[in-house]
Amino acid sequence: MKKRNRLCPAVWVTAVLLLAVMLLHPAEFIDTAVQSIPSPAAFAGGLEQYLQKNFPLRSLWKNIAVDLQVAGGTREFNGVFLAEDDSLIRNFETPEDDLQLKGNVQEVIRLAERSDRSTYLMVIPTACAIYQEKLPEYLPLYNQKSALEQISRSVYGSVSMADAYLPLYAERENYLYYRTDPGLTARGSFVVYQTLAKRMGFVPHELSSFQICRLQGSFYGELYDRWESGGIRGDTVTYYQSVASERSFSVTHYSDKGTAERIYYTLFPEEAALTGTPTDILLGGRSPVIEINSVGASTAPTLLVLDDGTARGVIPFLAMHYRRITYVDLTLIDSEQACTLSIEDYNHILLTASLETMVHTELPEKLLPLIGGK
Amino acid sequence: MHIYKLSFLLFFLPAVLLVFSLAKTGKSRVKILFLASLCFMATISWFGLGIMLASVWIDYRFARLIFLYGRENWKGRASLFFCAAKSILLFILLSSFSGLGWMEMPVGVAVYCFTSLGYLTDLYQGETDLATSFWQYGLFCCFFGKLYVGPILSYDAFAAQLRELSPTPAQTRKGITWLLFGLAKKVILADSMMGLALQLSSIPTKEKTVVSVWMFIACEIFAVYYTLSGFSDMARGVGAVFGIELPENFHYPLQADSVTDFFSRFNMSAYRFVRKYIYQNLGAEDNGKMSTTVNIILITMIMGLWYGIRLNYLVWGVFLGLFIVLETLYEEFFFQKMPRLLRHLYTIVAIIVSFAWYSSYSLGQAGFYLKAMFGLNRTMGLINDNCLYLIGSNWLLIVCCIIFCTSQTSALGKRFAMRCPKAARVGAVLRNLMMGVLLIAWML
Repeated sequence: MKKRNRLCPAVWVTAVLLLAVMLLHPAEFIDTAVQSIPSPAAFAGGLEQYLQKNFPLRSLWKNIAVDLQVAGGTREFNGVFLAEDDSLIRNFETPEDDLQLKGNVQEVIRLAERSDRSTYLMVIPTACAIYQEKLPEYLPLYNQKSALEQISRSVYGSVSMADAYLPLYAERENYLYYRTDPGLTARGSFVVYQTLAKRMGFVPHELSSFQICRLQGSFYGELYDRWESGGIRGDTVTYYQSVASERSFSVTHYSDKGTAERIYYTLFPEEAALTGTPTDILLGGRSPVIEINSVGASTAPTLLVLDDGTARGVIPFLAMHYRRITYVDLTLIDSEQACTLSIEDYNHILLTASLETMVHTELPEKLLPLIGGK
Repeated sequence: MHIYKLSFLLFFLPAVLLVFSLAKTGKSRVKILFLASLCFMATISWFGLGIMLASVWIDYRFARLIFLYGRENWKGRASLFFCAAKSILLFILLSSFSGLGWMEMPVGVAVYCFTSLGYLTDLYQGETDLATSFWQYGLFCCFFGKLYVGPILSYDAFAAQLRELSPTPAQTRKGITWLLFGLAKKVILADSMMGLALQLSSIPTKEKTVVSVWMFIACEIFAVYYTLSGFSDMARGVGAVFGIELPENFHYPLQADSVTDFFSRFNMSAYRFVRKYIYQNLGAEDNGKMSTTVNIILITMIMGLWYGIRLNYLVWGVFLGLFIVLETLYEEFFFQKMPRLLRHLYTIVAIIVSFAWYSSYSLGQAGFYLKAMFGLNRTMGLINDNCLYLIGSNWLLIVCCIIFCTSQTSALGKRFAMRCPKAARVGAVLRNLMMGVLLIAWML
């Protein structure tokens, strides 16, 4: 009994001190004392994550939830819309202001003014604008057409801009964008190529001069992963092989260290599609810099393409008109590697980007080294 | 870990049930449930566990002093005062810290502090017996099922059930049904409504319309109601599975026919607590109109602050309190002359308008919403595409929320069970299975 009485004050003092420390410095208490103790909260968090990921027939359960929500009118999940024809379309988020767009346009103008070479700009609208009729009723959309017109007005006199909106919109009944990926299909790339060719001053090849080749199997792109539910048909990857041109090509991929990593002697290396994703059939996949040399076209001009990854499918078409094309992927190249490129080495410069990139992403850090670091 | 997570349903609850069923005596079952409650709290945060244990232990120790000295001796009075000050201060401080973004509000502070305070007050007034077992007292305050929003109940009602603690099959069935209902309310309805409310609130100011603001407030009401009543149903369900009957805490508050009625249906146990320990002690309605007015406003203010220490919650309480004052003072007009339909309409409008304060971060924002709701903002249109799109893409959710906030489906179910009891039993099993499937689908 006596022992218990002696213990009581000690417990009291400890409890009061603990309470005081907790209340006076709650944040520090959590940061220091608590984090050093093995945490059941972390265990519970890990367990929850494990159960979520490894739940039996996970995709089946997810499909039930998504199907019910779709039946209840919901068409958007994780920023991806389910269109009327069961294809997936990424939402184009309306920016709070147009400062980013204006900054990017200024950077393009600076790039053009830095050189006396012919500079072309192609800003490609997203499926959200071209397939707007397939989107839910009353959905407030960002006016991509108006934004493209604004860009066109801003660069007028400095850069020659090709408008892909109207040609793509006119062909909207065709398979222009993948159903499960935001990228352009071969048909969409062909429409862009035709528009671009007219603006760049050469005669584009007709559709009849290509053989349409189809890759086996289905392609499930980035939007399919974001959708997190089944019930969506995969895409068919096709590519347009020229039957008119007799030229042969070499495609050299440069790594981020500037060394030649892979060389293909075709614009459509099937082995790349077999080892990577089906869309790698185009030039053998993505790299920071890809150089395409054409044998037997010594008098043709050279072209530097600065792209955000949207127009890779257009390059095989353009390759038929150029001796050498250097394709720079602005999303993969770093500033150091960009410094090794000189715009003076090319006859033409083409900047292609999705309107989404122009509106939401900052271009200058990738373009500055090409301008000369001004 | 939270009560609405897969880890709780598939790991924690079955594990506790297994250990619970292996124990043979009521005493050991109480100990198991109390230890499980501590473990549950530890999986949320050590800090929360520390605060909870310290607070409950202090109250338990002081309860002896209160019992020993009673209201006649200053030591008894001082002990009650100290415990009340500790509980109230703890709630105010933690709520304020979390409001300032310094920390996350630990789960269950309001529940265990006020459960304990109610018990100590009853003990002081000689209305209950002394809790002689810390295990029982700890379980009474911190039972993991009711930590989120209660219900708050008296020690006598709780302790009487702890002697046996052997759930009957009927209790288990009822418990599972309540648990599923609560989860469905929280995971399917409340969370989706919260998402819709977020979409509506993130519409740029210049694109907001009168309808979008009304819709936003209505979504907030549904989100709050389904979250709180979902947690209460889950508490009842978890309790029943272990043989503990907990009282109903939300009884279709959105079909109330007066603001007074709304308060008596919304967080019922908290309202009962405030009425019993504050309103009655202040003299309730016995000291004239002025005193009644002050007392009513005071308890509705406290009901507002129950949800957090914020000026907007206080104003929410005061605003609804004014209606209760009018209803109390002009009872005859409100409850005899006004047609029933009009009473419902008046109540729902008063509730929606009051939630303009509840849902806002500041009084200024609440003012903006109120101006918009009554068309006083001249630049604002009535409705636009944005609003129509959100209605169109959430119509089923909105319809479900409206249907399930009334007692119609429950009444239909009861009528059906009266006529065809066998079919109703099969139907209930199928309904529970379907709800289980939907819940897993939503929780993944």
